[in-house]
Amino acid sequence: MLLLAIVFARRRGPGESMARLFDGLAPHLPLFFVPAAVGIVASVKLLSQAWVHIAVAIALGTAVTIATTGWVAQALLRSTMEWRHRD
Amino acid sequence: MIEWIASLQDHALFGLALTLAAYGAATALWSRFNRSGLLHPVLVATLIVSLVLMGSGLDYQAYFIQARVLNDALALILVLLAVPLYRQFPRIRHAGLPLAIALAVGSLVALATALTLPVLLGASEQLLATLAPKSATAAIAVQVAELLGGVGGLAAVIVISTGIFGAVFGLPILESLGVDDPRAQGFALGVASHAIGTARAFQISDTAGAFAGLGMILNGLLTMALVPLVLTMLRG
Repeated sequence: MLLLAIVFARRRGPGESMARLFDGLAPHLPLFFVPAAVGIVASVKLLSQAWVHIAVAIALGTAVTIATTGWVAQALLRSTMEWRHRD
Repeated sequence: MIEWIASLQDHALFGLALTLAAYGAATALWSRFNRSGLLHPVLVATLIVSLVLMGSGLDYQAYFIQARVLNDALALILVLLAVPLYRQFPRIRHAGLPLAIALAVGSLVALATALTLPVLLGASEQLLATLAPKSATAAIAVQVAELLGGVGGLAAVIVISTGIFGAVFGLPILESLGVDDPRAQGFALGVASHAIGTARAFQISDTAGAFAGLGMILNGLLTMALVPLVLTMLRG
């Protein structure tokens, strides 16, 4: 993805067909995760052995990660904007 | 009826048709209930497919092979995320330093919150290696976990659960904290919940989606560097 973005930058933009393919697929991105997600059912046994650790890491860990990342990003994005305006 | 399903399930396209039908039903339900987070299409479609598999006795491996084309297409679509990244490049360039700091904080918090309890309770190194890369995208997380002695299959399941959790609860959490800048919302979803969070961010706006794609790829790269380092320190 990063490589392709660099190629776009050099060619001054993605090709028409690639851009259209992306715009068509983007709203249905969740569909493509379903086959892998159903794997949850297949690993019930493995999950049952360490489920407390796993559940805490997924729920609490992800909530705290999203909250801190979003909060820091917004605080810093705003302060650099204000700094630019003052300039 | 059951015999009819049983004869269908051996068809090579059964898994694909089942997944498409479940996804169609899930999105219809989702739009009907005002796009409520708890009814996220990945969650509902996964539930429908799982119930049908359990009911019909088709095992997961056989289903996965039948629906594999969707999983393979995912790799192509992830590469195509370069399209919004390119479109948003002017806005991303000006946000370089804030995003770099937010990424470092987010990546470290993801690791710390995943490992603190297991380390305190003396969990096995195998579990630590499986849990540590959970916020990275599945392809990276599975490789990192296996390289460090974790269980790849379980790592994939944890990664996907993390993604679904972030897609469902991420936006309400951010809004309750007053984080309403779509760039910050998207970046947080991408860093913490990789591609599934990114898919959710694209439903907010193209801007949120592009920042999520950027957060996902940057956290994937940082995870590859950070997780082996932290696990080595914990062992030593």
